[in-house]
Amino acid sequence: MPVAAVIGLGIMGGGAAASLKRAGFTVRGCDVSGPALAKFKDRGGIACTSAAEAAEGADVVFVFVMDASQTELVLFGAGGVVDTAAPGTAVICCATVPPDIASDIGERLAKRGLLPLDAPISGGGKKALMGEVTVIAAGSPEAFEAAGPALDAISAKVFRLGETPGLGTRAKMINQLLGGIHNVATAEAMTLGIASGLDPATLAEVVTASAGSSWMFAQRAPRIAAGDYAAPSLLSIFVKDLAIVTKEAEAAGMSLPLTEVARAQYQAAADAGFGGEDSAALAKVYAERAGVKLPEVD
Amino acid sequence: MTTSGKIAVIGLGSMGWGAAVSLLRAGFESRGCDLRDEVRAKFTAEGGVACVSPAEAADGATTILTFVVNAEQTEAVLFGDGGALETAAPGTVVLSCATVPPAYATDLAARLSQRGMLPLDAPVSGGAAKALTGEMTVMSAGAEAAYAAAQPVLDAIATKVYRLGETPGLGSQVKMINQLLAGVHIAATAEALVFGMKCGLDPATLYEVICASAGNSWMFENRGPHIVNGDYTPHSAVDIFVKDLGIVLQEAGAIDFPTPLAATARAQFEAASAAGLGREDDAAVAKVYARAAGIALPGETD
Repeated sequence: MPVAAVIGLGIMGGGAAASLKRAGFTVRGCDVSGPALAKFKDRGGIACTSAAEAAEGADVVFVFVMDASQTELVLFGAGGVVDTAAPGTAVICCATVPPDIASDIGERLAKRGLLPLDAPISGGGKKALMGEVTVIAAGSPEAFEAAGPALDAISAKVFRLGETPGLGTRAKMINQLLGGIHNVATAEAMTLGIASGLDPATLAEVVTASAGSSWMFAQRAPRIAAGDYAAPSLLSIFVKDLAIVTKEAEAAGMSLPLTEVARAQYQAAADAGFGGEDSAALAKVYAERAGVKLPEVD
Repeated sequence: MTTSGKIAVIGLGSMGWGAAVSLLRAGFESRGCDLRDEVRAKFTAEGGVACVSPAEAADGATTILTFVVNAEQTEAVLFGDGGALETAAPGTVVLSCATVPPAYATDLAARLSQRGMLPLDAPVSGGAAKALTGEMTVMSAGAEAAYAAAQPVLDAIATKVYRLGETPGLGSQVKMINQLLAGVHIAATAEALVFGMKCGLDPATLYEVICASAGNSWMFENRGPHIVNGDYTPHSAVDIFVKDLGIVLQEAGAIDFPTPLAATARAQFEAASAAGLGREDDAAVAKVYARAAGIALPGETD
């Protein structure tokens, strides 16, 4: 039976572990959280106390931690994956990190004889649990081959962006660029419509069915119309993601005028204390500046 | 099955053409008017009645649809020399389908009513492909009597007719908000794809990834392939968005409402127009980004 290690058993990692188990893998996992580890054990996983212990004897290692510093720690830190992973093991990095860090991690793993995949994930916890996430990946053909059955187990679709780790993360970054602009555009459009006297619920419905629609508009415009800003997706996450985009653009010597405007609107919303609300709260910044009253929850 | 009645379609651009052809298919006598000889010849070949002037097209028509580019042209084809009102009989329904400033739409309807017409403020959306199959979206406003008389025509050209109220102008207001988003999304599509290429990503693969992800938009999905394939054959031109986002900025400015994204997107379309790309497809705004970034787009040689 093939062996998979899953480092980080949060919503996405826990879901991936369950999908791997279902597909016939022996799954070894670790997490700093006791309850997450216990749940993993209940689902038939082998609970380990360190990343090194989980990676021992594994054919493939998934890293599902939060960010770049945690990825660094579980791979190269004390008790990290590289202490025990055998040469030829596929190491699949799924955390959202800056693109240059994804490239750097890929290079260092390759130097140790491991097969790195830069593989950010799209899709929520439900899809993770069903083994139906989207993987936006880059790495060598050998890495894709070694990781193939495990990727099939966790995902509905694997996009192959190229051979160089970092390309997957860059594609994910472009997705965030668009999502960020679309959220701000939604706020600008809905608030202007309200200011011109249009009924917000009707406006949301008509535009969603028209050429002005976006995935983000369809999610957020009805929230603005209903005055519901409870967060399924934190506004502050886009403040961070758009900062990564801006930094990359600077390094590439390219100006991104719409992204800059979107970032400034996000920053203004965060500064006004809306960072813990949904991105729909961008509308409040527009409303405040224009002296418009937004709908409120009944 | 034959539906009776003569319908005048003034302006056979991509949306007007689609409407005129859909009306033919529904059995109407579709009378199309366009300045371009080759478009009129093509319309005759489709089985339509090609007319040189709006007055000729409107003669005997029960319904008139104006599918011209802007308010000035709408004014000219209705009230100008050889305009539709020279021949249109009282009680004729007049659907104004161009994107125009909401205040103009209101004023136009008032003047049409004074002349005994039944005006509908009826801008459309959905793109050329949907227009051709009679599946446009109409964002409309007007009196009940106008809707009742226009019903068979609306059924022939659209699958979704939003009735936003009795006051002409409300349709154009919603259309304006739609255009704000559409314009920003096209510029965002260009910004994203060119930046992706600058980062070393393959544009076709990136397009596929975004279409399956939360960064997708109607415009990204529709215009992305124009950039990926390097095909800037105009379906909707750069200059249309210079105009439409201009309406947005003017209307927002009139109520002191700052619209930084719309303003920035318009500046990109204006830069494209200034670079001589005004009549290319609106996706050609990508060329402004590509030149600033120093990269060659698909279909271009370095």
